[in-house]
Amino acid sequence: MRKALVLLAVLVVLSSCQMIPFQRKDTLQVPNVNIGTQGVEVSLAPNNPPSEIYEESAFTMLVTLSNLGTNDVEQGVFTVGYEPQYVYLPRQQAQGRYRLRGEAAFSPIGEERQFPFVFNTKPLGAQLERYATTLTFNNCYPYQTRAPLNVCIDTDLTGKKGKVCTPTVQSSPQGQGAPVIISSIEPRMLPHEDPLRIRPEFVLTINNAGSGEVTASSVYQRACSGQPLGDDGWNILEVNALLSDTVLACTPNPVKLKQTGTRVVCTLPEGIDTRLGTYTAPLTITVDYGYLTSVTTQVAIVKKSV
Amino acid sequence: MADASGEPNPRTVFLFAILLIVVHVADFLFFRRSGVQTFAGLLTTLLFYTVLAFMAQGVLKDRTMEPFAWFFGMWAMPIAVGFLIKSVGATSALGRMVSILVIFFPLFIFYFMRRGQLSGLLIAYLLIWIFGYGFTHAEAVQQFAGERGFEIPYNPTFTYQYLLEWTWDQLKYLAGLPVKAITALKEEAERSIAMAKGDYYTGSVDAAAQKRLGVYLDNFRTTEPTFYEDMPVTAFVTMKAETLDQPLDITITCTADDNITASRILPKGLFNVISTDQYDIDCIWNKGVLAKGPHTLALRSEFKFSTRAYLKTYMMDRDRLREYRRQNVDPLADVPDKNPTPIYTSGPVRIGMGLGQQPIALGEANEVLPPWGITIENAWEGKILDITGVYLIIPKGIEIKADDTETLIVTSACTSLPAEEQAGCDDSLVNVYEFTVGELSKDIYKNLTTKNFRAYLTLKNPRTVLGNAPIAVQNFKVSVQYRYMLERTVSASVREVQQ
Repeated sequence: MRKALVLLAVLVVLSSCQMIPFQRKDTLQVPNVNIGTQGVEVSLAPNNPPSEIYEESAFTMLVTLSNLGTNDVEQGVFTVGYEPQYVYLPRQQAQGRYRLRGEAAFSPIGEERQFPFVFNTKPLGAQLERYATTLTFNNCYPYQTRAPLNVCIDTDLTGKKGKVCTPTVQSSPQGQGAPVIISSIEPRMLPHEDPLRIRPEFVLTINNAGSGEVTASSVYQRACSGQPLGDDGWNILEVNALLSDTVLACTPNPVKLKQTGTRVVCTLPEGIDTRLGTYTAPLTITVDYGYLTSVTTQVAIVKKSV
Repeated sequence: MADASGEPNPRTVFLFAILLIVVHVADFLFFRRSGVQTFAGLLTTLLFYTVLAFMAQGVLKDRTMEPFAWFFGMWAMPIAVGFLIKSVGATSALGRMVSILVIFFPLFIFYFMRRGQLSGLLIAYLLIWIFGYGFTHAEAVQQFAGERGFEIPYNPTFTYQYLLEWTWDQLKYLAGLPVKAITALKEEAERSIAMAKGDYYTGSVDAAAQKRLGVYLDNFRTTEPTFYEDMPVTAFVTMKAETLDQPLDITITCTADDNITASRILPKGLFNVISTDQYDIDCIWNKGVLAKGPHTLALRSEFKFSTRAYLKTYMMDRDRLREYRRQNVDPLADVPDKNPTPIYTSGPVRIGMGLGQQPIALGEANEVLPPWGITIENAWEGKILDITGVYLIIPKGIEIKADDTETLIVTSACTSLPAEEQAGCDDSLVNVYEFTVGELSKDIYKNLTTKNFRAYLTLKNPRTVLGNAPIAVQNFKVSVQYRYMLERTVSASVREVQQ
């Protein structure tokens, strides 16, 4: 009887237990926004502007600016190009400024804004049935490409085995979330004039992977106007690099971006003590520039009486 | 005609056969009696049957008379067939078949075939008619017959009529070729010299336009192939006119032999076209106005018209353009039409333009820009009687240095433009220039074939031209007002009245 009571108690206890299957613990996936080759992208809404419009009527060009890169834009500017002989747009509407937040780890969708431009078409003039007028939207903004990564610092030049890391070339053709990308970083450990130190050097390859034009960050606003930028205005990049907290010297800097890619060498002239051994260190590279993108479309103005 | 045996002399028979063939051919080619019923025809028919009746009774036993009986048959048969065709319906299959039969087998052929004489000649004759019959079904011949209002285009005689008229037209064309060739060579030489000098500019007609602007004349035709002195001579044409903004005043004149004005022009001689219209115009010379003989009838259509042309241009700051080129960047990469061609509106005048390589680089104020070349050319076969106005419309901020050109140009304004042009013109956006009255009164503008000239441009205010965008899109426009004349001619023959 006693055994039966014990057995009953065990059964009661067991029945109160629930079969819980093995479950994987959910982890919060932080999206990697530091990938991509886009910055502030310009797009036109479908049918705005329409492909065809009558003379002496109004139409809208609806432009969407989307910051698909990782950098916030504080002082973006735009201008609208049009043919004043055929369409009218108030002068003050033909240019403007904007701010757009970029993508970030905890807000992975960049900010987007729409700008409507209401045009009025003018009379076509005698004997003309239609005319395809050209509209251009020019978007200029300052941007920064930021590439944080860990690099291997190997102060031992003898080539011993069993080190914690080996300096290797790091390639990232997919970009860093900006139209100008650092496509590869090649670390080199060079002898220093002081035999107790080595001189780390990083060869950066930089490309324009976006569809726009690169300008110097100081003159990007002029790129959207009709003014010249000067010889040092186009394709100029400013490169900065930090190894841990130490500023590296990058040459040439500012650098002229070439179509095939530009190489910049960043080095630590004072070197690193060889007694520190082999270790990994954070290397942060930033490239500052201005960027110009344009969208051009045509609207056919049609005579009313045809 | 006959020998002692009563048999016809072969030579006489041959000549008689030739005569019959000629008469038969003339009968169908020019009198086209098939289907025509007249009292004379009826009388001939009765006579034919009377002769046949006498022959049947043996009264005409002399075989010499026999061919004459068949000869009457040749005249009578088409008339008899005419009755038959009318009774069965001219367009019916039976009607067509019978009318063809008449032409293929005139009775005298049976006569000669029966006698076994001249078979070679007759076979050749039949072959010619078979050829005619085959070509009668050709589209050109049927159209030719249709234009003359005949319900039976299967008549092979139309083949020969068509061939005759076609040959005559070709001969006239060939006769006029030397003059045309000399004129064309002269114009081509002028054009080549202008091109070699870089003074000839091309353009494209507005491909987007749905309307064919201007005045178009179809073939000028006579209502009858032959006229007689006791009837009016009438020729007609179909005129189509299209315009967009500018009402089109058209004056029609008809003359014969360059000096005999038509008695009437129907429906009228003056037309005012607002948009699109089509008219059938008849030029009538009353009976007796045109004397017997051949005449050249001419219809002239005069109208005032205007042709406009524009050249879309992309303009950039010169330094900026240099920078783009140094960077090997295409400044017009996003632009759909990178190298716009000049466009001119459809009509009798072609306007070509040239303004250097696009985009046009703009430097400092008062700099000289590439010259703006313009070609005004007669594009149709008619004549530019005179040019009443040439207007040049260029972007504000650019001026034409009138002193540098041989053509007399003066500064003008939008209000000086023809009324229909003013709506699309704004003095705050463009500078307007026009040819002076003195310039347009020069002989070169009378019966103009080609006029080339260059306007020398000076940049006055680059900021005004460029605006606030990296690439400015501007238009250079030309408007030409002129009087134009189209002419169509046709030959007509007036004959003496048949008694």
